[in-house]
Amino acid sequence: MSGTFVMADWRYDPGTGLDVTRVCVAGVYGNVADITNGLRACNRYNIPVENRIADVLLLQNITGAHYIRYVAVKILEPPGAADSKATVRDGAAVDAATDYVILRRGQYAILGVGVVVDAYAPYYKTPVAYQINIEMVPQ
Amino acid sequence: MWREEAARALLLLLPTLVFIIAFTSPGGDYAFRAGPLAEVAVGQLPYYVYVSNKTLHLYSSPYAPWPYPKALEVKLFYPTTILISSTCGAVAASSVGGAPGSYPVDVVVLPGFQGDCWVNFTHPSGWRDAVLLRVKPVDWYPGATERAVVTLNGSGWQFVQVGQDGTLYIWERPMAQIPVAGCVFVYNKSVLLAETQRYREVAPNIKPPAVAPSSSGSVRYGAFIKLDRSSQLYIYKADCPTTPRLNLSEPPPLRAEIGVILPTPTGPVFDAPVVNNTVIFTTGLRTINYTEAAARIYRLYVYTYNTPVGLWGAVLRYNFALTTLLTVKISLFRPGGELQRVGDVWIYRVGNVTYWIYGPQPYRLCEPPCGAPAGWQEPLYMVVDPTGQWRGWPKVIAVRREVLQPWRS
Repeated sequence: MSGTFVMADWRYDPGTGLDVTRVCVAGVYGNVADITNGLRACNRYNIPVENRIADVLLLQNITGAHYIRYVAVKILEPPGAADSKATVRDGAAVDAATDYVILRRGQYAILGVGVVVDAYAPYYKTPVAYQINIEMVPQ
Repeated sequence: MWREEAARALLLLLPTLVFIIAFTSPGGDYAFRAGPLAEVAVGQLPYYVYVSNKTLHLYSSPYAPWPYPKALEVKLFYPTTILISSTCGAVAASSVGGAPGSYPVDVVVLPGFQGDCWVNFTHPSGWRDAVLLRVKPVDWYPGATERAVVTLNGSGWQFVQVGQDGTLYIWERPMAQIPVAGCVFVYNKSVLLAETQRYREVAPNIKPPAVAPSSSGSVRYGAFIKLDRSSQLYIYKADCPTTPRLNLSEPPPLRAEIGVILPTPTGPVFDAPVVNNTVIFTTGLRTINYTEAAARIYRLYVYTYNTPVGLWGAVLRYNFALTTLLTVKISLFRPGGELQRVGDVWIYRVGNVTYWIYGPQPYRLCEPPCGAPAGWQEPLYMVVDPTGQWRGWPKVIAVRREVLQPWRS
């Protein structure tokens, strides 16, 4: 979903065998930014899977996590989860997990991001990095 | 008339006969048996002694007396005592005997002896026998039948260990396999002070094995050598020479940044280890501090040891849990300073102290973030040099097995 406000790259970490997708979200300082089509998590398995956001972890406080007043990662598609949103307020996760949504074979979940950036946030700097673990469990 | 003479002669002869028998037959009860008083034979000899008739071709060593236990055997047929003497002090016993039977005689060749040496067996009755020892000096540790010859190239003090399985360790790092494992190290024409320390696996079936000093387990023998370019180290399978106890100080603590940065919901934390338990081992040459420490996502098994040569060492072994956490800093060991890569080792220089590390990269910043390590990491072998003289691990140039052969002239 790379574009002006969202950029993604992907790499394989040979030391640990992890696939790491990095998603950069640009906010507007002093304002609210809602990105409704941030990331797609696709079910490439041959069976339906349960999909959820399992963890939101503050990975790196680069130039000040407190500048990001609010972050929400929401499963927009498919709908139906009772808790579809993981939220972070002032650098601390207040709701780190969502409920499961079911993805059929070939279906994908669309994740949206909402951020509120402090008016005094530094311009063109990355204030914070979060690790978001997306869990896919075969149903 | 002749009857009277005959009677007189008989009266004289009979006591004379008894006296003659008494004087010439100290065996008393056995006086009327025929045969020699005793026999001297060759006893149990190692294969490297060449024997011809009653001549033994023995070796002498410059390092220690060379014992040949039960090398000779005296078979005694009468209840008497045989006197033994040697022209070179090769026999400690001065006499054997008592009841009839066979008596083993130990022979010990003194260090550095060369030439011929007689072992004489005598008896007051005039019986005598002798064995000739022909002794050749050899540069070999007494009693051993084989040795490993290890050619090392390097400089400075090196701590060499040999495990029972024949693994050669230098500063605890496995370097080579040698054919003979033993406790006697001969370097530069001298027998080295050696230590004995047991090691056990802290967890089974890890590759490479995760070992730590222990009070039980398999034995490693260790010694210090001061290398100067290419030199040869001889390792003999023999009992350890007794080591005087050195004055040893406590092993130094590891002062370094150890841990990884982990993400948490409230912010990144530095996952530092907390010491669980510590055991101190004292060998003849070193004091070893073995510590197990735990953190959130790993366990650290570490031992540090001091040495009498001014350097000290450590071995660190990490066991990380399987997580999917990302991290921006992995610090397996960072005492400060810049990390440099020199050859196959990592080097930190902090003030006058140089840390030499062999193993995985001890310090890494990940940008972009990388996954936290998982599972058992390769061990980090460390040598810390406050003297500024050490120049790294030596190279094992050659390993050879030699077997002592008998000699004859």
